[in-house]
Amino acid sequence: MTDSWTERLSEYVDGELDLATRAALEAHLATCASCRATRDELQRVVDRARSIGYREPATDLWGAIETSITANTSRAGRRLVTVSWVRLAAAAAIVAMVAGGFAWTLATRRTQVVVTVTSSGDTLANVVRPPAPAAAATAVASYRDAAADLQRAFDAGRSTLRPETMRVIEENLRAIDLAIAQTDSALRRDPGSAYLNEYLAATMQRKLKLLRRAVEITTARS
Amino acid sequence: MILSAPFGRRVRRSQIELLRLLVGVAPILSCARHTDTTIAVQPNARIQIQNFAGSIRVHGWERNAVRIVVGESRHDEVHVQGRDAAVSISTVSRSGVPAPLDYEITVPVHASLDIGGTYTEIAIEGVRGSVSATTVQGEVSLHGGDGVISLKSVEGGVTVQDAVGRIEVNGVNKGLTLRNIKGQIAAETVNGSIVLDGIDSDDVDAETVNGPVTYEGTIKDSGRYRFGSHNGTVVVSIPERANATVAAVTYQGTFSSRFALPNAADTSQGGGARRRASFAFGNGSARVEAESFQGSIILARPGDAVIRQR
Repeated sequence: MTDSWTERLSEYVDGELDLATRAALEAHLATCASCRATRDELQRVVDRARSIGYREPATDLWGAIETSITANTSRAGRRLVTVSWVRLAAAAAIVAMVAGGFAWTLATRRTQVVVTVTSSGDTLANVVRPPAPAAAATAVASYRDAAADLQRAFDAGRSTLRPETMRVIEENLRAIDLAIAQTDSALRRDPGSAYLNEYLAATMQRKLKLLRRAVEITTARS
Repeated sequence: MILSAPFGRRVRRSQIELLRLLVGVAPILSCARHTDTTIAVQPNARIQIQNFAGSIRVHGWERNAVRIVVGESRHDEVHVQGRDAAVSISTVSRSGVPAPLDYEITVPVHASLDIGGTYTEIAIEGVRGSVSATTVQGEVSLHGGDGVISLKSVEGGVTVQDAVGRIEVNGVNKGLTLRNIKGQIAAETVNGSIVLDGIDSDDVDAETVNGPVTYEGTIKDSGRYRFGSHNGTVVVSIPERANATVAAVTYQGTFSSRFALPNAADTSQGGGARRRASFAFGNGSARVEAESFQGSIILARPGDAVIRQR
């Protein structure tokens, strides 16, 4: 059964749930080993991030972090087809964190701390400035890599679904792709638009979300 | 409890007795030609139901018991496990993919429900506990519910009404309808409309790619409301005495209002065709964002025909 609590675990670890939701989630955790394992994994990420502390960057680190993100999502993606669902969820969560951080940066244009978890378990934390347009393009490229990785995982499980279900999912992925293409086209005409950059990031996140859900369905069925 | 086992009945019964001894609960394995059984549970018991294909209909009642009625099946078993605080009900196939089964489950009104299926229609009514319901191919409908509510379908529409709590509704290929809801709302689909009607909330987030979004409900002081569509029309009702800052953002779409607007607090024409305008109503404390990349954005008053016709 698809677990609707999984998506709330990050908020739980961050202490952002209200008391009633927290109590309900804790009741669920008592009976769900899968969610407990995911929570523990998320908690380790947070603990490692906290232990690193705060340091000012000597230079603009966005480019280096982007390189790291690209490498990590690519490596994680190669393992997606064979790794466990928990690891897949964790990888997708990392992608979501990165994407969210990107959109937030564009929206607010403030200095922020970016935490990146590598596939080997190392944690990078750096204070960065908002990305320049060229770095934003790199970030978009990394999302596309992540989408391609999830797509491969989805394709690997396609035999578990009925053809009409596959068709529906693929049609909806194409609908999002069209929205992405239209935004991309607008962005080429208006490359400095923070609105379009943010909108593109949000739309790509939507695609990652649907792909992740599709992979969850195939995983549950296999 | 009815155990109708055309083959190997004695063996099956001995298995049941052995399981009872080993586990100490009340598992029931029945070869489900037809199942009708009732189990005593706590008023707020957690009920898990898993049915691969067919339908699941759940009703609330005032008794502290769960009644399970399952239609005929020649090959599959209905597995019922637990009692008191938690009951798990599922279809177990003895020959590969389970055949479609129709479940009629009656639960205490305050039970907490966790329902899953793949090719399964799910309908729930008359309950007052938390609800999670997920399917791939099939509609999901909920009438009632209180607490954390999560409803998902890939191929079917999702409808929820008269619910209270934190409501999360996810579709993919069909629309979402939420009526008479009180609480925090997150609604998202890809290829379908989102209708929010009779909403009492200070936190609403509704997004689709292809389809309109319509909102009629409260705009509470300091609340946060976000409505978005890539291609569709976004219609938002703004009550006359609302204290809200309303931002309308589009790239290639249009913006209009069915009532006189105050002077725009901020307007901008970005590069390309981007347009953004924001307006302050009253003290402006609530934040309302309406966004459509290439559709229309319409502000209206509650009850306006433009809302009623959707």
